[in-house]
Amino acid sequence: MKEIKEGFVIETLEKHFGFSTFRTGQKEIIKDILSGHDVLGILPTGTGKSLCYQLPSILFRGITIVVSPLISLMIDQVKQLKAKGFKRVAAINSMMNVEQKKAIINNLNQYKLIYVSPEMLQNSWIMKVLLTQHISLFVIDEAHCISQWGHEFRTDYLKLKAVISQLNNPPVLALSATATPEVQQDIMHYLGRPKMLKRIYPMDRENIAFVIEHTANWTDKVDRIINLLKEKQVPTMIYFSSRMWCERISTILGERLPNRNVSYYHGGMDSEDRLLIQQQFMNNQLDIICCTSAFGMGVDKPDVRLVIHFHMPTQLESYIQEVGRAGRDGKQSVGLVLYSNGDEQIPLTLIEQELPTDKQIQDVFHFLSSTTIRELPQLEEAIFINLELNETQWGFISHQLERNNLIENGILVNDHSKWRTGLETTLAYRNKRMRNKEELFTQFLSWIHSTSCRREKLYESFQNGFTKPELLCCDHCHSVLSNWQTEGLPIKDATYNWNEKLKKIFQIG
Amino acid sequence: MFHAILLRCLKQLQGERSLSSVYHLLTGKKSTQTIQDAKLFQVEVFFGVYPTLNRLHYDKTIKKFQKQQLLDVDENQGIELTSDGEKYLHSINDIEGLDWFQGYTYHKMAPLFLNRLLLFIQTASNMLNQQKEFVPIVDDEAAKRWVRQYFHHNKRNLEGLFNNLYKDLMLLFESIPSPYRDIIIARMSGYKLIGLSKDQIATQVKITVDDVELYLQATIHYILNKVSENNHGLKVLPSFVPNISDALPLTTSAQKTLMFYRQGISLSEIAAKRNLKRSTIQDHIIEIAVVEPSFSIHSFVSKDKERIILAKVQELQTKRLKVIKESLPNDIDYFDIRLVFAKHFSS
Repeated sequence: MKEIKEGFVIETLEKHFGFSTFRTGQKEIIKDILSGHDVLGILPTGTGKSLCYQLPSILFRGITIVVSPLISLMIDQVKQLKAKGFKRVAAINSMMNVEQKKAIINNLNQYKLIYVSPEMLQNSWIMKVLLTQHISLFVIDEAHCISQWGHEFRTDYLKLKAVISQLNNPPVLALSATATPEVQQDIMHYLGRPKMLKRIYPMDRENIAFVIEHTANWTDKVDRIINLLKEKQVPTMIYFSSRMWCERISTILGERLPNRNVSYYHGGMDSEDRLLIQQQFMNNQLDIICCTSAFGMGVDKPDVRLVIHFHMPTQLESYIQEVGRAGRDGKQSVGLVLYSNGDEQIPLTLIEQELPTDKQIQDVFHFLSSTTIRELPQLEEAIFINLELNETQWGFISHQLERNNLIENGILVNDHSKWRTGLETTLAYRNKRMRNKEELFTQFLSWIHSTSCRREKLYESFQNGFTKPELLCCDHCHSVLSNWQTEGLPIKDATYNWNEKLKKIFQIG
Repeated sequence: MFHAILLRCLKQLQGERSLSSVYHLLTGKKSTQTIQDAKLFQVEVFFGVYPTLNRLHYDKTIKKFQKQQLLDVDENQGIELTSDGEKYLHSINDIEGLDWFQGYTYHKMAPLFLNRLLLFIQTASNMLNQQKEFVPIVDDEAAKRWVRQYFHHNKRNLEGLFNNLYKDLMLLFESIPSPYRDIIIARMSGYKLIGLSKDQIATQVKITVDDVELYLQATIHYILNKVSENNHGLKVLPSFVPNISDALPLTTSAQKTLMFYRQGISLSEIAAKRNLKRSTIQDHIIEIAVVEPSFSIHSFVSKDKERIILAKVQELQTKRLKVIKESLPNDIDYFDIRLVFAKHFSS
């Protein structure tokens, strides 16, 4: 590849993204990519990971493909790019109907940047068209999904190696916000690129202070939050483990904090309402948002000051991701975890639901080895309904079927001994995964109960060392909340007049 | 409003249809049975007025009614209002917006019209403030495409057009009372101002989320009706009305059946040709009989049988298929009865 001048890169940055300088790591990664290297980039949340491929995609002659695990994330990214005036971008995912997919596939050469879900790359029609195009860069976003030790393992990510080689081995960029050395190794191994350049940046965030408080029960948590929010008038996110809690507490906070704008966000809302809430938060119409882990991905609000965990996540890695939504603008922010005795039950239940039970595995194996229909896709509906599996659980089992060679090109094999040993292996593997997940959660719990510096303990399994902030570090180092100076938000105008709103929109008078 | 609509529909069905039929009616299911029921029981104004209604939520609401003893479900799954149910319905039955619905005519047009309107307002408001970068609050691709073109055609006179749109809305809002007016305004977005979610509106206006959706739909039906009257001096709004005919068309599948049928192919042959069940093809024929007044049913059911069926309906004072069928000779089947119903009881 011809050398692209640095000045031109900066010019593109200004013209298309409106920045005059790069943030940590961006420049190095972009330079590596432009000179044709495979890169593994680990950049902390909120530091502009996506620019690392968005900018090169403009400079490259061909198409940049971005594999993204979450449809909502993909749609958000495309929307944001289009809003910035970058029009040659599209997303292809399973939520689209054939017509919508066709409209993009048949005009592929009009796009510079295409987001796809990993399943879509298993579609032979889409692959056939992609093969006719020049692919300049192949990006794997949220690359930790490839590792079975990551918390969001996706079986389809394992098939990317084959896809990359089918596409004539374009340069590969794998990106993630958090990855332990183990996961990094997995990423390179499963992509078949052991010699990737590693660009790993520390994930510790100097401007976030950590506080853990013990509370008696959930009403105590609510009281604590209300007292704190009365004092700290700052944009706030509160994480919950379930939709029900998220709505319930949002209602209570709305009533008890009449001067603040409170709402909630979770995956159960329709897409229009989700979009409205997201935009209200970005637009500072809302300043407190109660949410589940569904919120956050793709929401790039720079001035979130406080991230509260009403419920615990299932592991440190998820916590680092979620608390990382605070202080993207670099200003002082705080992460607060509220913990009551007995809270362990919720994450433990969630962990259990992520994996199938022994009985479910046995039932599926029994059903599949004895049914007369041998085409797996035709059986999926029956499996979901009759055997009461959720999608994650089925994903786990179907991957095990493949790994144990019980399925070839979508057809179940007829070999009883294979099914028998396959069942043994799968059960053993499930137990191993369960133990691993439980260990990760225990790690989180021990962080909650730790008596030394929170910051040191939080990052120790991910990286060597961290930057110690001068002012606010954690509740074990000094009293954080009483020393935290915040600028207040303007007090909400409670009398909202509909006519005035209409006039404002239409700019009348 | 949601409760009033549910109870009204259940009442109209006179215990002759299952619980699902009202769900299909409100969500606008394009099936022969639903379309025929809508006409047969004169509830077509509510056809498709709540397309996003969730089945679980619907079932829960009905269960709650049963628990409160507003409804009785008989052994045939037929539902009837109890006297408490009647009383409750009476107490909530005079909500103004209930009379605005014309679901049969507008169910398809209304959502698209609303999306075009909301998206155009957001676009124009931002553009007139020199704000070219904003995230559209409407996801509907068809509406986006339309607004893009509409904007392009009108960008030279955007300010004047936008002003006239405001005048149109103010004119309509004179006759649209609170909270209908408030809800549609709450939903609007503009420059540095994002519309409210249904749940937020529900809290502000103190109604349920179901009612937010239904009040909004009622308002759109009202506006569409005003626009169609064409004598209110509305300048801009008429151009937002989608150019689609909503008069219930045949399902694509029924159209195919009609085409084959007109070529003189028998029902069994059509079924075999298309690899469909014979009963599916019969459904199509009934659908055609409902929609097409000129379609003769007499090549399927004789005039004699027709007379016998009609007499039985008269005698038993019911339109319940099962009851009619059981009191007629065996050579008259369900298909015959449904065809006669389609012809005579679909206004």
